[in-house]
Amino acid sequence: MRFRSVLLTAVVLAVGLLSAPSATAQDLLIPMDAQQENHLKAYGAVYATLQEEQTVDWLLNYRGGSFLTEASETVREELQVRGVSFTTVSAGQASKIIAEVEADGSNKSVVPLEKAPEIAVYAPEGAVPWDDAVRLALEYAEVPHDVIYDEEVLNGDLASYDWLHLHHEDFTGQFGKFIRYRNEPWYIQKQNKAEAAAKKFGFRKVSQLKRAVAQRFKQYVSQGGFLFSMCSGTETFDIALAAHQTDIVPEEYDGDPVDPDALEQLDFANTLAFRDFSPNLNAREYEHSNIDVGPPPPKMRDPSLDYFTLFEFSAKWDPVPSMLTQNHVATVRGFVGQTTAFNKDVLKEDVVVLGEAPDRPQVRYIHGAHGQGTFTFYSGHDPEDYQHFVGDPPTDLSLHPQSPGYRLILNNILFPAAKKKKQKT
Amino acid sequence: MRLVTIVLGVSLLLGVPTAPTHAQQPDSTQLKKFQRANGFLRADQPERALPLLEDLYTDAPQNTAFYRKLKQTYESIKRYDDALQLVDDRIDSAPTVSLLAEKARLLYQKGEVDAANDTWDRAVALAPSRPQTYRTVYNVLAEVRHFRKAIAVLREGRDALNRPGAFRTELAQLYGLDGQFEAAMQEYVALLSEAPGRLNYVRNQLQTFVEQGQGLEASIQVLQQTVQETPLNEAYRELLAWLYTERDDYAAAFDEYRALDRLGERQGQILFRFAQQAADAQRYGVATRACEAIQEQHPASTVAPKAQKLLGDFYRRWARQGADSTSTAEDSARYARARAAYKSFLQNNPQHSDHPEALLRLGTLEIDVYRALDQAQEALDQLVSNYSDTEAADEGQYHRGRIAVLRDSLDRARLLFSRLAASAQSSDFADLAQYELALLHFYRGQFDAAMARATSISENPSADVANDAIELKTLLQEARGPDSSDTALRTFARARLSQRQRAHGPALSMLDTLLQQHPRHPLADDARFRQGDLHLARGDTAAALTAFRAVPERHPRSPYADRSLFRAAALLEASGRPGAAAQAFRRLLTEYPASLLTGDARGRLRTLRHSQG
Repeated sequence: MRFRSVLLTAVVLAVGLLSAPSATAQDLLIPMDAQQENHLKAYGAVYATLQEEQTVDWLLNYRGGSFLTEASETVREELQVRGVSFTTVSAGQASKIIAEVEADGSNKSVVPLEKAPEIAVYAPEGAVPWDDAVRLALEYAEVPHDVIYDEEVLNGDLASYDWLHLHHEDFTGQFGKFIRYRNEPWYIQKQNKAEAAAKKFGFRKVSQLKRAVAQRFKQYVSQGGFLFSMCSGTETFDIALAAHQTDIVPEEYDGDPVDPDALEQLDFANTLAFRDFSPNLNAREYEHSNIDVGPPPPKMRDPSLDYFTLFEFSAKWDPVPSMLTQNHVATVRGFVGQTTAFNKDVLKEDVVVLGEAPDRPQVRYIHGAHGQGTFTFYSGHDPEDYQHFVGDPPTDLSLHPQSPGYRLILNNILFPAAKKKKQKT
Repeated sequence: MRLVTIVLGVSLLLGVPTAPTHAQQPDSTQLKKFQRANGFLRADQPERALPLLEDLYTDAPQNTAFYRKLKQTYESIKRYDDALQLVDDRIDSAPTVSLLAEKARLLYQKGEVDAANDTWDRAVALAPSRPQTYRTVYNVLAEVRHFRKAIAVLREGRDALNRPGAFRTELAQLYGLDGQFEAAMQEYVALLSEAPGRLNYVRNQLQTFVEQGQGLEASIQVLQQTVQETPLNEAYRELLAWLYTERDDYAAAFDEYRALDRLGERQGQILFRFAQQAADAQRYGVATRACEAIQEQHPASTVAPKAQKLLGDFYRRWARQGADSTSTAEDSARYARARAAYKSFLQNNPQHSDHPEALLRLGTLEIDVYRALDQAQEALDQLVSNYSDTEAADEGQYHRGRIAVLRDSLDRARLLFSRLAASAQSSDFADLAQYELALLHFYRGQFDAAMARATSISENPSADVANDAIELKTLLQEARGPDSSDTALRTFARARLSQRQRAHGPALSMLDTLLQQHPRHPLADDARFRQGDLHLARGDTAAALTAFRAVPERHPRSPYADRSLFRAAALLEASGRPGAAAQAFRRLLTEYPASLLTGDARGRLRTLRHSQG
């Protein structure tokens, strides 16, 4: 696994070195530091540029991870319409910028982005975008994406997509452990639909259906897909994979008890990011497992004190984690979710930590490789809504166009656009 | 602990059957053993509880408490075969419906679905003529969420018992849970025909699946058919009307409520309630139809006068709501109907409690829509003199002041606003009157007095007019001079008065004079921007475009520059010049990136790009 990670790093690095961009007559520089007025829309504009088959250079660690592309009227207008700050630079200025970025000793690098990735979000029919930070970000940044669900996954449609986000799904088949809402219409509807879907695909229980779907996602990653997940979609995904030989679902959710030796039967070799964790087998407790360390205690739950720091990676030697952590700030405000922060003690050894809460044994943002693909897990629910409750109003991203927390999500959609070439031998 | 022991002892005693052969009173050793087993189970150690329970069961197999606890423990560790053996032992000695249903449940949990279904059938076959048989089996099936089978069992029960109305609510709920919404609705329809008073129960049950589009549509289809077949049933119609409103189909709901009103001889009361509901949902078309239906069909009813007044309110709100999206002719027609409704109400109901409010609404319509100052004056005079102690009278007094300004009777306006400022019941109107007094000073060139009043109002930031007062204060601070008599500002003030009085021509010429005599005065940008507005008000779009374009050219750093550019772009777009409009919007984005209008400009640019393909 470590070898694969190094190889991927080398491939992306080689790309940067082999295809040093040439400055054209005029270029557009999209700064991503504090001078940018709308960081989130900038990602959408870059994506739109890639869709027009125009390449964009991602200048890692240069002014917050800026973008440089050829000046065309279409791109200029796209940026203007989206309210993205940009400056026109001459060929000479562009060459100077690239020389500065590529200079030995600078922790900066150029990554050419070539192709707009095909994006899918795994979400049930009727799920509204504001239930999920990623969909909010994609909608706001105007990044086109498909919404798929169990049927498409089991029918083998995943191969059509480069990047996949898992909506707030409970892959353990416990309906989010929202048992206290069991008499609410939305819960009844959710349970009925899930049970009907399980039966449709020949599974007696929802947990079996969700496990099969999780296995498909794992297979998708191993075949080169890019998987991104947030909040409980991260934790329950690995729990479901670990529990592929046992039943960890309490009777309240699937009608029969947990296997008596369920904990012994967990298979951590089958998971992506976590190991040696313990699922919470109490139906009435909201927590899924000890992967999540939970929110800070109520007395200390203060948004102004809760933050995490991003690691700084070598842009030249570690371009992948560098891409994923591009930001105009080094510390990001924390936010709570059903899975708030990952327990450092249950991380697999080859998982790269991208962001962690200082002085606490917990991490917030992680990345890893599996087979030919990668996965990125980001804990918490909504980077701009510290503590989101069921029924709360949606976050209006037009009020947070420079959100560092949301930037981390959008870094992920451009990461698959990085040009991959084999290193010359 | 002592209490637990006693309770446990009692339950064990109750568990002892009357049959003497195997029956034994649980002795103290058994009781202790049972307590220990329970302790292990509470500590989540079933493997330690099991040998104790097995011993107890071997000693006293007829003891129900031992049997149940042992079966429960086997189940908790998924030893379904052992649990089944316990049940089978009992079935062998005395089969009952509940034992067979229980056996089936265990088979189902074990994953043997076919065997489970067969066993449930056996349970039913054991006592098919007893309703309790079907309920027992249904309860077990519902517990394991095996809805289809549960439905089949209850339907079988209906046939076997020859009682088509049996298990009505159970079946309705099961159909709903299974997504068979039509069938569910048919059960509810039958329930309502037997017990119309259960309408609220049915509505509560339906609430769960009307949130699913499919459920709503299926329910409506069934009810439509039912209403067609039994048009005199009020419960059906009420339910159908409610479903229509859930679907946001107020027009269809109106038909049902009208029928309900007629069926129940409610003299328009149901229609009146519905009209308010529709208006709250901003469905003014239906709301006005409901009010008109009351007028036509129940002119003598108690709600008719109120409905007449509401008719005016709804037409007025509808016209205002449609101002941006509908044609001027449509809006005019709605205003005309509002005016007619108010007049009719006032004429026919002089003693009604809504009389002052109707006078006020009619008066403001006459001013703002029809500019009929005499008619407005008449209504408002009547309001202020006859209902002086109402809040409506305060507002009426304020509008009387406005009429005086429009008629250029500034002394009278000052008198009216002064009275209002002194006597208004609400501080909002007192502040408004103070602001109008400041403006009157301003129009007359009494700038120090205007400044004093504006300052006083602006010191109260909670006042609605505080912002307007601050704006006036800023104007007075920045635009005086260059001569000692403040000629430019005086001309500007007169132009603003003329503009307010809709004397567009004189206002334009005063602004022209100002610009000719003081081309570099700080008011020049405001004057040009205002000229654009005045040309627009006169319908001269070409002149308006020229005026708006002039502002960013001549005053690129003016706060009016971005607004003028936006207006120019919008005019170009409206006049079918999308290319020029897009260019103007882009210029706004480039030259005024911090403008509050950038979001709107981007929106317009997007629309233009889409429309141009």
